Amino acid sequence: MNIKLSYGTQEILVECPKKQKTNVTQLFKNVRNSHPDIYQHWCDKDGRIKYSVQVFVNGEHIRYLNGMKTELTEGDQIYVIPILAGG
Amino acid sequence: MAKKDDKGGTEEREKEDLKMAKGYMGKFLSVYLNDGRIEEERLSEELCRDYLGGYGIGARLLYDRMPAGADPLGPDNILGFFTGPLTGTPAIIGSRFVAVGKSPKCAGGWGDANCGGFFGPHLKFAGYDGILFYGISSKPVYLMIDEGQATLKDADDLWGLGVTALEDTLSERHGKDVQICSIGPAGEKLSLTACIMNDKERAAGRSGLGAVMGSKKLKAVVVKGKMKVPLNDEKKAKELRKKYLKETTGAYPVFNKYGTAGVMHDTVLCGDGPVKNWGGADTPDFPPERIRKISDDAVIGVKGYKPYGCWHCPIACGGKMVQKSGKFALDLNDGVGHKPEYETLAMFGSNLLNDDLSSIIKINEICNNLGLDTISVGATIGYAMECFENGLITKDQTDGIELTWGNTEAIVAMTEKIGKREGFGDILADGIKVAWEKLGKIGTEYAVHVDGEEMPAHNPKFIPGLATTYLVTPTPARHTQGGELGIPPGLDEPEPDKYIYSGQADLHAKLVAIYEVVNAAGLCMFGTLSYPLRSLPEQLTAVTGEPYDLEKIYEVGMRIYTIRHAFNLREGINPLTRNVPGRMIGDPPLKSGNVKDITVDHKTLVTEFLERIGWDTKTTIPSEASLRKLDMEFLIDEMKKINTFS
Repeated sequence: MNIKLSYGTQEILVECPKKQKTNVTQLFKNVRNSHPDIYQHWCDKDGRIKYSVQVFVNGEHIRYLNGMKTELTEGDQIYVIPILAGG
Repeated sequence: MAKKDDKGGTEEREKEDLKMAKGYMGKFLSVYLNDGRIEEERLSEELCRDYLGGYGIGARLLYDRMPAGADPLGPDNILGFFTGPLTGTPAIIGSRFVAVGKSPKCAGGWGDANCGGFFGPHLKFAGYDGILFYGISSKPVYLMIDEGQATLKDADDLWGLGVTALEDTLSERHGKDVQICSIGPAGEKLSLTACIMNDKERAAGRSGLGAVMGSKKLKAVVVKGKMKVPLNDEKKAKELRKKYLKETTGAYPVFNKYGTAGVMHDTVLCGDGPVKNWGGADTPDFPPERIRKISDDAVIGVKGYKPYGCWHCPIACGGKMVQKSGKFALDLNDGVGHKPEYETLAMFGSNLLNDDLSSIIKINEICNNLGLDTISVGATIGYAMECFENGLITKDQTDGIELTWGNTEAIVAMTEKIGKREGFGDILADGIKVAWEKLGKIGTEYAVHVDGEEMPAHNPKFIPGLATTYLVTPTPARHTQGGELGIPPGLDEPEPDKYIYSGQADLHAKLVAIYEVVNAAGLCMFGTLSYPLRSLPEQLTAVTGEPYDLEKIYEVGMRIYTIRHAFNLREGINPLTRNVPGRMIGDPPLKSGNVKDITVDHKTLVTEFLERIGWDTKTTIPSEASLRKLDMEFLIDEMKKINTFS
C-alpha cells in the first residue's frame, strides 16, 4: 500500500507492504530507503526522529496517539513538520 | 567634534589606529540633544573583545553611563544604535544593528530591538560603529552623518510624517544613497507599541524604543558613506562566504522561497502559533484550510510578488507585493507593500481568527508607516477582542467598532486608530498591560504579556524552553533571544525530550550564549538556522583576528547576557517576580488541539537554568564565582548592594 506523507507544500508517496501492519517507525524506515535525501533531515543516524521534527497522523500529533508505534492504514494522512522559527 | 575614548580621556589617534579592533570602525558618536554637542569617542579594543558589539557593547556602555531609576521617557535615558563586528562585512548575514535603551514597557528595565535592512552596514560605511543619544532636544531634530561628518538638523517640517513620506523627503534632500532609521507618528506620540523603522519596512520592533526615540524629539538618523570596514583577513572572510554559500541547510529552502510566511501553516497546525488570543486551538478554531489562505503559496502568489533581501543577504526572506485595488488597497509606494512576516501573519491572522490575507497586507502597511510593532498591536487587539466577546467592553467604548473575531474592517480600523492614538486606539496604544490598567483591570486571563511585553507568536506549550526564554531573558517575552526556536545545524548536542523538564538547562545555556553572540555580532539569526554553525566562529575569527571557537562563544555570549541582566538587577528587577500568563504555560491546559493537556513546568526549567549559569535561584543575582569566570569582577560590589551574595 502507499501512504501519503506531506511536509510543507510537498507530498511523497511511501510504499509499505500491504500484508504487514505498518506503524510510524516502519514508515520512516521506508522513507529512508525511498527518499534518503528527505530522511536525513528528519532522522538522526540512529533512526530516531529529530527533536525539531513533529509528526501528525490525520491531524493529530502522534504523542496523543501511540507515538512511533501508531499504526497506519492506507488513506491515513501523515504530516511532518520541522520546527522553524518565524520572525 | 571632540574626540575621546570610551573611557572618557583623549589619546593620540595613531596609537589608537594601531590598537583598533578589526571588524570595527573604532568609534561611536555621543550626541547630546539638549545642547546639540556631538562628540566622537573611540571604542577600546577591550570593549570590543569582551562585549563584541550590538547590545553587548550597548549594555556595557549604558550600565556605566545611565543612572539607575532613570525615567525611560525622560532626559536621563540614553538611546543607542550599535552594529557588530560582522555588520557590513562579507560574513553571512552581516546586515543587522541593535537599538538599545531603558524600556518604557518592561518595568523600566533593559530594552533592545534588533533590525535588518541596510541601516547597520551603512552606519559603518559612514564611519561609526554606533551612536548614543543623551538628553532631550527642545525641538524635533534628525541626525545626518555624511562619511564622518555628523550634524543635527531641524525636523520641524518632518514631525508628523509617516515613515514612507519621511524617507522619501530625506532621500530627496540628501541623496538616494542614504539609509534612514526613523520613527513614525506612533513614536512621536510616545506609544509604547511604537518601534524604530529602517528602509521603510524593516522594524526594530520591541521594547517600546520607538517611544524612547520620540521622547527625545529625535525623528530620524540618516547615514551616508563609502568607508571600508577594516577586516583582519579580508581574503579569508571572502573565501568563507564563498564556501558557506554552497552549504545551505536547515531552514534555507523554506526561508529562501517563502520567507517566514513559509512556516505559518505548520506553526499554527502544530500548536506553536497563536489562535484566538492563545485561548483557541489549531484545528478546531483555525483549521488548515484557513491557515493556508495566509501562508506560503498564498502569500508569494500575491500579484507582483518579488523577493527582498537585507544588505547582502543570500536568503532574501523578505518580499514586495502589489495591492492597488479592492477593499484594502495600499495607499503608499504606488500600491506596493512589504510581505508580512510570520509574526504579523500570526498575530493579525490566526490570533484574531482572520484568514483574509489582503487585510493583513494592509495592516502591515499601516504599521510600517505609522511605526508600530506588529506583534504588540496584534496581541493587544486580541486582548480587546476577547474582552469585547465577553461583554467587558462595549461598542460605546470602541468608537462603534465591533471588535469581533475575524472582523477585518474592525481590525484594520483599530490598527490605524492605535497608530494615531485616536479614540479607543489611545487606550490600546501602549499595549496590553496599560490597556488592562486603563480599563479597570478587566479580562486578566486574556492579557497575555510578561511584564508589559506582549508574547510573540511562538508557544512555550509547544517549545517548553521558550518559557525560560520569555521569563528570564533580560528583555521578557522575546523569541529571537534565548535560542529555543531552533538548534543551529551542526550543534552537536544531545536533544532532550522537550516535555521532560529536568535536564534541559545545559542545552538552553549554550543556545542562549550562541544567540547572544549572533545578535551582538551583527548577524541575522536566520543565517544561524540556514548555514552550519561552524561558520560563526570561523567568520568571527577571520574578521576580528580574535581566535573564536564554541567555548569562546559560550563565554562571550554569557557575558553579554549577564551585563544586560545586571542592568535590570540594578533597577530592582528580579525576573522571577514577572507575571506568568496562564495561557503561556497552559494553566489551565487547552482541551483540544495539538498542545492540549500540556502545562509547562516552567519552575523546573527556570530553576535548573539559573543553577546551570550560576545565578541565585531566588534573587537571580550572579554568584561571585560566575562573575569572576566571566571577568566581570567590577559587578561584584554592585551586586552586593542589591542583596546578600550567594
